[in-house]
Amino acid sequence: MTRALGTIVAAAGLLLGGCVAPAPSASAYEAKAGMTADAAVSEVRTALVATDAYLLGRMGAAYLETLLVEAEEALGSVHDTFDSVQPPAAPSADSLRDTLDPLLQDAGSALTELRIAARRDRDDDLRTTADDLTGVAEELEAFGKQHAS
Amino acid sequence: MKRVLSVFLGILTAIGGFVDIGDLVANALVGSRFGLSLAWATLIGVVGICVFAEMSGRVAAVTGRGTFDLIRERLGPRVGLLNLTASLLVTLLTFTAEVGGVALALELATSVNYLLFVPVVGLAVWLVIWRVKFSTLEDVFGLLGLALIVFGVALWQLNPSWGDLLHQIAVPQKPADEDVATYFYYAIALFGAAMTPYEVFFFSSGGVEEHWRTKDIGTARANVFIGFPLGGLLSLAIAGCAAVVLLPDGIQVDTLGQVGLPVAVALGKLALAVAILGFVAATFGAAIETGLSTGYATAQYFGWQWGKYVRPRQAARFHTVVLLAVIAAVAGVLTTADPIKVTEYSIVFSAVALPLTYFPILVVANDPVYMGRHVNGKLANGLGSVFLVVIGIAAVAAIPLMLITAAGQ
Repeated sequence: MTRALGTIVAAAGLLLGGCVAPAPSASAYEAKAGMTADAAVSEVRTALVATDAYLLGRMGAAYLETLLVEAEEALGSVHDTFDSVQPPAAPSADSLRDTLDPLLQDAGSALTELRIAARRDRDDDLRTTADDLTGVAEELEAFGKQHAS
Repeated sequence: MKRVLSVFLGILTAIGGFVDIGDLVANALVGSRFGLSLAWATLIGVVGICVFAEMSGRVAAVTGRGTFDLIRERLGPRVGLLNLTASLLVTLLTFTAEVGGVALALELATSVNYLLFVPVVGLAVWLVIWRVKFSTLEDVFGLLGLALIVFGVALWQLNPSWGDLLHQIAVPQKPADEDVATYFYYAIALFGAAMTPYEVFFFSSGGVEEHWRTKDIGTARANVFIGFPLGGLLSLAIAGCAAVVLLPDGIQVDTLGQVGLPVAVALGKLALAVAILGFVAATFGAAIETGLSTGYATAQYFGWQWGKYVRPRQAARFHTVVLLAVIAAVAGVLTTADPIKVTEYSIVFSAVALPLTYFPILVVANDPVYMGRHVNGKLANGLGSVFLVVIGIAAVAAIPLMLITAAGQ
């Protein structure tokens, strides 16, 4: 009985061990980083197009706010998902992470700034933050192209 | 003159009622990733829905009976029950997506979190189903859905390279950065969105509600053969707007707000308000249609009295099923599952269930015992058979492609 139980526990341990996601290979990690950058670009560009439309009087504040909140939340989710991936033990992976993580951080902060400015109805702040965010978007785009799978 | 006006109104409501949350999301999402290179899938889907909606409308006009009633009688209770179960699950998922879609559209107009609108939307859907006359709700929401024509105007205003867009449609090519599996996964999604099963149940049950007779077959055909293709053009306009505005910026649609963004860019605030009105009308109208369809399907299968042409007391079980479906849909959205993701899954699962919906319709429409001299001709049978093959391929491929592509990631 005890032996059978031990066998079951050992088998369950092996199965569970097999379910834990291993660190991806360096190339898979690079592909993941490229896809993360593309997803971030999508959210950032959405915020920029919407902000531009709002500043040109082509969009109401409620619509802009909704788009900005959604973009901010989606970018946060993209960032969290990337951070949850265990990078392989390779210098190239660390370098990728060290480059992409600050970009995602900057994009997230800028989206938060945009949302705050939109809710406070401060067009100047919207314009300034959008300019900053455009630079981050370009860097993310370049990163995505460089590391496309 | 009155008859001409009636046909015209029917066509307009068919156009306005064609687009629902699945069409909005699928077309904008695909347009933003693939341009118009997948327009062929929408076009095939529109021809398919026309073929089978015409058959089901003709069956309703000739027999005066609902689709599930006939399916159970013709194919037996077991096949009927399998059909009912699959259709109910897909329709309920679609209903949930539509309720979420209405709430998301209201959030765009107010910036109040969509979850707060969900119980109100559920109550409104139930009240409209309970209180409003069938013809009124069909006409009002169908006509309001025409507000989505604003996407066509926006596309024209954006002044794209029409030659390039037509080339993408005529000579479809997979974008270099997308893989083949993802391309065909979204082809099936568009096909499923255009051929959603509830549209056929609702169309034929609506025929019974409105007491169609054989003399009304011409009107039904006008609705289907003019209204549905023009509705399909609206779908293409939504995809075209996304292809022109969102694709070049690398924006991939995952919210309803992004679907309307090209309208704001092209035409401004007022047009955006019209687009939001179109979103609300299209999703609310479809929520009513899917809600009613759950009641129609169940009541027709079990042989209960159904329909809005009798007092609710006389069709108590039908209305109870509808009420339970409303509660289930509201509860589904309140789980905070993303309504756009629910929409994406609903259209793919629709594709899986398509053979169960359309095969029995072809069988009944081809049976002279039921149809007499209005039985399917060679053209209807030929097209129906060809589409059954296409539907079968889509149904078999949908789930494997979903798994391979991680739902189109």
